[in-house]
Amino acid sequence: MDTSVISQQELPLTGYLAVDQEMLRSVFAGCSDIVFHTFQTACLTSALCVYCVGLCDTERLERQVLTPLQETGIEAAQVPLASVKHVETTTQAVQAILEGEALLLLDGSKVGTAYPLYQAANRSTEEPLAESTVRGARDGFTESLTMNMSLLRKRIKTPALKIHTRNMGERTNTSVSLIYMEGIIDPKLVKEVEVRLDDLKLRDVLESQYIEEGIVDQRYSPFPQMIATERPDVVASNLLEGRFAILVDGTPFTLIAPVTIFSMLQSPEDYYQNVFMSVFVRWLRYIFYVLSMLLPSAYVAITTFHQEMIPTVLLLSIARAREEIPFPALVEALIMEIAFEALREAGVRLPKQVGSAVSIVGALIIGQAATSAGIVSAPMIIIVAITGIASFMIPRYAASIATRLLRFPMMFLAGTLGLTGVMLGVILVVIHLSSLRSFGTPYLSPVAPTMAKELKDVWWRPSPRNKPH
Amino acid sequence: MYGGVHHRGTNRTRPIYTQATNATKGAGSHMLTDKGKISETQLAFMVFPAILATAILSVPGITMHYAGHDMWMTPILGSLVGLAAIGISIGLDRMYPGKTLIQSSVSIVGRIPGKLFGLIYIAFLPHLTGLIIREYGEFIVNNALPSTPLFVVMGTMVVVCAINVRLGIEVVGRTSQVFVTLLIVLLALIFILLIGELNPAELFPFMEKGPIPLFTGATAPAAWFSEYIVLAFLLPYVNQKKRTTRVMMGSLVLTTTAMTVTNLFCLFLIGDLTDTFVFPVMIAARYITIADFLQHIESLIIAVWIFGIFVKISVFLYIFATSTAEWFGLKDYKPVVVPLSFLCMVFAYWVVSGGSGISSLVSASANLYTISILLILPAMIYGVAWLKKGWAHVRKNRASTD
Repeated sequence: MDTSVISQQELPLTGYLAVDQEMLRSVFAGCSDIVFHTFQTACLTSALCVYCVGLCDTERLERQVLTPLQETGIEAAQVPLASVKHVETTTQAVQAILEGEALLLLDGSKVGTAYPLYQAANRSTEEPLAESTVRGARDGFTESLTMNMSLLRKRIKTPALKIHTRNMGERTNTSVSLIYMEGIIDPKLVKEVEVRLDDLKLRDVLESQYIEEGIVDQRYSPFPQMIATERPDVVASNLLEGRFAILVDGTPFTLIAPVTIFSMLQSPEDYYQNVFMSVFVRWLRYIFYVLSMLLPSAYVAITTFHQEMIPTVLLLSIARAREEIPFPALVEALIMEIAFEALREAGVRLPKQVGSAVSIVGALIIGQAATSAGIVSAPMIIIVAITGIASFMIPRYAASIATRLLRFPMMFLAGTLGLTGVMLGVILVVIHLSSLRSFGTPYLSPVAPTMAKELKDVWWRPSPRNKPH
Repeated sequence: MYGGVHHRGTNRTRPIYTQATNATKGAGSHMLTDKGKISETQLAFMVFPAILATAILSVPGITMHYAGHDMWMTPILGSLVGLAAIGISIGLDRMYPGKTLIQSSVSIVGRIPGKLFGLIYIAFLPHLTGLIIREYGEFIVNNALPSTPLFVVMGTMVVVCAINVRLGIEVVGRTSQVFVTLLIVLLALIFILLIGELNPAELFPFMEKGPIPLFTGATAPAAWFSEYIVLAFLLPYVNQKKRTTRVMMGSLVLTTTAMTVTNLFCLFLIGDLTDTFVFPVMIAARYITIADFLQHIESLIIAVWIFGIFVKISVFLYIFATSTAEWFGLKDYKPVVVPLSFLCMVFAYWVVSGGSGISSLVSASANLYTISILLILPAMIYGVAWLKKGWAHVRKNRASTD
């Protein structure tokens, strides 16, 4: 569709039905899903109803609008429907039709009426697939913005929950909502986000990542600066902690910011279960987050450069296992990690029915055959397996991407400079994290810079009563 | 696909309101070459390894050599120098708020003598930084990577530190916070694991040769404590100076304790042999065995120590870069970081000519050299500042009585 045609139609409706109809027909030329229905009302006025077949509820249109108009002789404004809009220009008319409203034009009237009979192909709320919890809400966001907003409104029943909706994307005209809690959020933050959204000129918005990439502070970082979640309870709890959320029509993934590295490692479930369990799991996550980045490189460094660190008995068994392996530890680790990443990616992309075949192939080929063929050693397999488990432990998928990617340069550093290289790598990562900000919030806060009050949410799980904000 | 043109202006690295908070800082600080601010705690975190990172390796050996079994007391004596350095820094900062030592010296002794004074520091700082880099390189090559070229070991570290310094004082402050926390926890862990191996009888004989060896021995820790003068360069970046004196005193106590404890552990573990090793702490760490399984965790010490030395090199490189930029009157220090890091790298080769290693340079005479530049010179400047203030006060009094 040529966007220039639409944008030039800032013309008001003329009031002559034939002219307006011609205008709309020319705009929608070649759109077979737009229906033009001409009829006469009970008052013998010529009328035109334009709607989009898939988006508009035809049955209700007939029952609630067309039949009363044709038979009872009520006027257009008297149709018993809530939130009826008036349309005065062609642009508004086109917009209304594309959003799934039924547009009614009467001959002689310069104001058209748009009836909200929106009904899109929607799935009902389901349990979010990417983030499952043992305890906690089971509903997840869907692709419908209105439904997602209602899921939030259901959880936070206060007028302080503000929702600003705008259309973004020159061609896709996607609704994007900025949501925050007034009185809790820093007003300057809201202003900043609005400025950034205003500055962002996109042609298409198909997923929230399109928005995220345009508004984050540092686009070239492996670490996510916004949480993407499909759980309404996560969004609600973050809104209540003074963060904002951005809902994008057409995707269940909602963006939350500002975030820190620690909020990436926290799960909503932490607050739904016993304190000690949550604290235990939190620390487990911290440790395994570091392990998922460093374990293969530490193994490479220790077996290549610092064998004396390994206890003698263990050293002997590792040496026995590695005896017939033709590769140095670095190459071995690279082969295994790349194979693992490939398997993982294949498992994600394949249809469910074939997916199990991949895991069988993976377990058999990588696990069994590679060791018995003497290509990789058994300890290496254990290391890769633990690393894999560690990266699955991270509750935010996007946060695990960073460790998955950084693992490889770390292995090279370990292979060339041993533990010193790994330490240098760690220092570089920390330097990057220290310079990173998510909408003004330092990424490593509340640890560096220290914020004494919020620190408790890092090393302990505070009671919901004393939660900050 | 959408093009990059649409992103113009959307990738601000720092949002509006963080700049607003920076605008509220003190009046004189617009002359600083870095707009970032740190907190008092961050400053304390930066200073701690800036002194301890190298001291922990060299001080036990040197002090043992001079002070014998009384070496554990030398850090306590040496800390007096640290106290003086802190006093001078805080005093200068109160008299000339928002100015680093390079800038305030110009106001105190006049333009040309002030610039000459600054020049001494610009000549000395690469010397000191190069020495630290060299010490790092030799330590790693001796203990961890015997067949890796010194250049690679030092070069990688300098690159990492240069990146850190270029990102500004806020990032330097935050990285120090992270690493120093780790450093303290792991060091404490190592010391706790060593407690069982100690032999406190090594304390005796007490004052075998009178107090004189104690004073000669104390010059080494004193040289390290004189590095507290870095405060004179960093205090202008602190955003809220409510408890500066208290925080810095706490830092001094902590540093002194850490140094004394290190000395005590080396004495109790290795005894008279301490001064035969270049890095006694590494030898001490070899005593650790956990459940007969975990042994040889000196690699862990190296790892921890790399964090510390990284902070130390970063702090000195930062001071060197900002001082140079201030001396030349630049508005921003960032362009000079890379060339100056390279210069420090070159100095790392120049400071030690022979293959005998770094230990000769950290001797008593070298310590006097460090103390005279890091303590005596600033003390003289501070004295002149006091005289000027006193003279102005006297003149004012005389004018009012006349």
